[in-house]
Amino acid sequence: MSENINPNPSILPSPSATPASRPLTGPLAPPPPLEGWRIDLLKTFPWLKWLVKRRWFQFAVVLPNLFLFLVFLAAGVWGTPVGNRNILIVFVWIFWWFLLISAMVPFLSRAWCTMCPFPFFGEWIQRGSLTTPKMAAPGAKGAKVGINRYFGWNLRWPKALSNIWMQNIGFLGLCTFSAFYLTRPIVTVWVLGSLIIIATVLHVVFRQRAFCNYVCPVSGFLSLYSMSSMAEVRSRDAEVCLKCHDKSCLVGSERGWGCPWFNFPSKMERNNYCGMCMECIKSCPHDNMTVRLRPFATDTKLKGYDEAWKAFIMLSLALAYSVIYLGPWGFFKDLANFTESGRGLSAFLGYALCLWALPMVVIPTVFSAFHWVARRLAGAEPKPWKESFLLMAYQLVPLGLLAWIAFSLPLIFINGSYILVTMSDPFGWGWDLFHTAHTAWSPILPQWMPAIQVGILAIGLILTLKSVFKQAGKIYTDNRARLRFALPMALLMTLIVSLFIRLYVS
Amino acid sequence: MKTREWLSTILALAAVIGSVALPFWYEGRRAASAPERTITLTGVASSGIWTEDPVTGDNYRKNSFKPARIRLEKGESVRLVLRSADVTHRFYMPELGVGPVELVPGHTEEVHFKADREGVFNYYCTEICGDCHFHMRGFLTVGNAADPAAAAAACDGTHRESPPAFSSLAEEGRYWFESKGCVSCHGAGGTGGVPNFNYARGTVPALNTLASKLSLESKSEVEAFTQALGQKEGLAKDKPAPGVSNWALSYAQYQSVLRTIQGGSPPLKADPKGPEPPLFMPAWKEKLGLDQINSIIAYLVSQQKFEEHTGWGM
Amino acid sequence: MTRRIEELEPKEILALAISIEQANQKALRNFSEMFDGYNQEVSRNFGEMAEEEGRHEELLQQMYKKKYKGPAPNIDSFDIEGVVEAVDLDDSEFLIFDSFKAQQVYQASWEAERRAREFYLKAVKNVKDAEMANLFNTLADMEGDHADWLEKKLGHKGKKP
Repeated sequence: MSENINPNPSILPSPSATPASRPLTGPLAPPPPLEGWRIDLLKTFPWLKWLVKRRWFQFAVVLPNLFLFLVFLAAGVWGTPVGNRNILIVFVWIFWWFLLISAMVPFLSRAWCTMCPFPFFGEWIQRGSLTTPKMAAPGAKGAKVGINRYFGWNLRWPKALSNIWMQNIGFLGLCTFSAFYLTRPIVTVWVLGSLIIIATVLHVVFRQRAFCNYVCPVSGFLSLYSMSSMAEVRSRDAEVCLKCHDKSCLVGSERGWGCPWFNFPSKMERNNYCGMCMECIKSCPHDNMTVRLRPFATDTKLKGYDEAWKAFIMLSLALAYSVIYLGPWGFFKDLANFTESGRGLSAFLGYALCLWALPMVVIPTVFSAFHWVARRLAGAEPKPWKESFLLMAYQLVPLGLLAWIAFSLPLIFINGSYILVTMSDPFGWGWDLFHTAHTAWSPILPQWMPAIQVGILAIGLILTLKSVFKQAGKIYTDNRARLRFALPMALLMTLIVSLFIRLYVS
Repeated sequence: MKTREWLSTILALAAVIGSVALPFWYEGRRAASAPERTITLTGVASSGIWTEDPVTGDNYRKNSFKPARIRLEKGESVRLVLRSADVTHRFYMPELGVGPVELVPGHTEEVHFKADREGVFNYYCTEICGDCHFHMRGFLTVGNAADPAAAAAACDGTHRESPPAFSSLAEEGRYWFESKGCVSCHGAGGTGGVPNFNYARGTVPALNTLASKLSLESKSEVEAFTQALGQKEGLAKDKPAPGVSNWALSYAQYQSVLRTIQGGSPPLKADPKGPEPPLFMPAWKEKLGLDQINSIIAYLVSQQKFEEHTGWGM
Repeated sequence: MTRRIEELEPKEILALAISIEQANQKALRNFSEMFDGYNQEVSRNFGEMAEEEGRHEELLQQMYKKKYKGPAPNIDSFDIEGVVEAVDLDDSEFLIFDSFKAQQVYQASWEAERRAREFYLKAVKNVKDAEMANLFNTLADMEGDHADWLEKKLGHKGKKP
């Protein structure tokens, strides 16, 4: 994101005007009314509020996760080399992925980041503490960030990398080699192990959660798709934040660390970079931060081309994976897994090239072409290209999420029995912890699968079409222009969904 | 506050250590709680062996497992834990009444048996499990019985690479004989003798007397026959090889050997009501070309020692 | 129980103004500390503004000392309806994920000062007591001074929005 987009370019009055004579429209103006309903979960469920306000809350959710994660890694090293009988492969790439995309992201936003074990060691070193925030007393060791104290170098993350391009590239890179780690537990150990090591090093060198915000390949798609999530961390009353002189959510306090995700929680208006660590809820002196339930796909603003490309990448990968793993063409699967299928390196390079060209070039080009046509058709007074491009690229976010859910459902319905087997016998050593080790492989509802997938995609399409027409109104006030702009974009979305449906039904 | 921080630190460290220690502790306790001696055998298709070494995600690709060498006391009870590291195998130890047990990859099967008599007992994989399948044979020794001569070398994966250049047809034949696994049943140099349970002849036939079977009576006849085999067009009935005295008979016998190699042959049971013998001659038609089979024949006829004359038959 | 500003004694209003200036200094210093090491320019700008608020606090303190003797009591602005001056960042997610301009800091605080001035001017119209009206006017002028100071800063940056 090299350009600076001012979300409200025209709202700041010229300083030469008489200040008192103009109405307030800038940062201090009251926030626009919220779209759709909200349920304040911390008010509705006092036990939840009690829980997330505990200093040990995040530690308590990370700890069991960390333990299981390390057991899985141990299974990858010492357990059976057979992919679908090793708990590491089955739980990480089948069960976790499914949970993440189908349950956590749509309903709990980035709750995964709350419990993620990757940055555990790094954050432990950086904070010098597991549960207690450290204050920067004069003369104390460590670096001062806000009013908290941290250890390590605490360097500032380079501005040029302050975007999600690294995550885009990293995710595509991981996906290129998916056939390797999906079948070989030891490769998965290497991948996940290096993520922990990178996270730890970056936490020691850079400030706060630089790894999560800018590097972690999982975080990239979580940030994008959390926009559609039904949960959000927000401030209750903007006036209270305005009056607040502590700004503890940003700078920290003795009750909680300053936002590790570089957000200013009181002004947060999107889910993208909120890791739901609940520190702001603890640190706020006015009890003004909360977790709310809201309608699906409420955040609608992409803020840069990096985020738009993330949407292209995720959609392309859903498409590519559907072809490779669910499609009837074993040829593609062989290409992806060239060492076992015996096809040459050049075949794999060809596959990799296709996988990169699709989201980086092909889909953006097609999208831009439709967008260009839409702008031409609409005619008069267009807003800047970037503004309408990002607004329309956003439409791929809820659509992509639902496409991923449609793709992931058969993974779990067809391979669900492996979860039961590996749960009881994680290392393939003949254990039977829960008496499910001998569950026979049996797909659930295979005959219904295409219908369910089509249903999900249809919901996605309806939501997207509605949103395309609505958002087009933000670019063109004239109804005719708005319709002319929306039609080509709606056509594109319909084409994309038809492509998925063809893949799943054929 | 101090207490909470200490407690968290202890819990975090416990999670890290416990994640590795707990599984091994549990596995150790399971083995210790079994009343019998536990022996774990893992079938590895890519090496063509049964091994007692742990086969893990980490070492599987390195392929450095030792074949199992098991010695039991007479009367000892055994809990045999069987695993497959890669593809489906079928474990069969007929003389001690174990199996056949199907081993699905990643699954663990348990069988129990008692080593109630002395001797050397062979076990096999009876499911064609890949290029190294024919190597997949091992033995266990009970009591004071002597170990048999060292088994044929484990499948080392060289067959996957392109074959080296050969200086003679027989040399090429030896390469295929060993790399395709013929050696694992028919013995080094085709000396035979591998026991096959409930097989009419008791052991897998030797092949080092093939020359006599082809009515090649001298070293020079063998050389002449080999030269004809090595010709581009191979052998033909109406093109007798110069120097082979009884061409019609040699050619007819050659055809019969070729048919057996290409089409395979079921083993004759010793006890017609008994189980199928675990070893059998598979059909090689799809796996070996005519040139390769000819080279193997050339190798086998070169193994004949002409002072002794023993019969040969399938 | 919150009170409206019109219900306050002139003495209390002066004390409130001092509390607001103090609190604003704290907020600005918090921002300055947050950006220290992350973005030096933004951090310095927040620091300068905190000093500016400090000078105004000093003026108010002197006035309080002269008129009422003794140190001013601390009044929490949360107890008074409609009092706001704290600078608020427009969009900090942007500020981290994109390039944040020093000018944006000034713009934000310029609006804050302006809002405070509006508030005091409105208060002047609502009171009958001459001394109090005079005080409100003084405070409004001071806020105007803040705004002028910021305008100069914005002018130095060359680019006007």
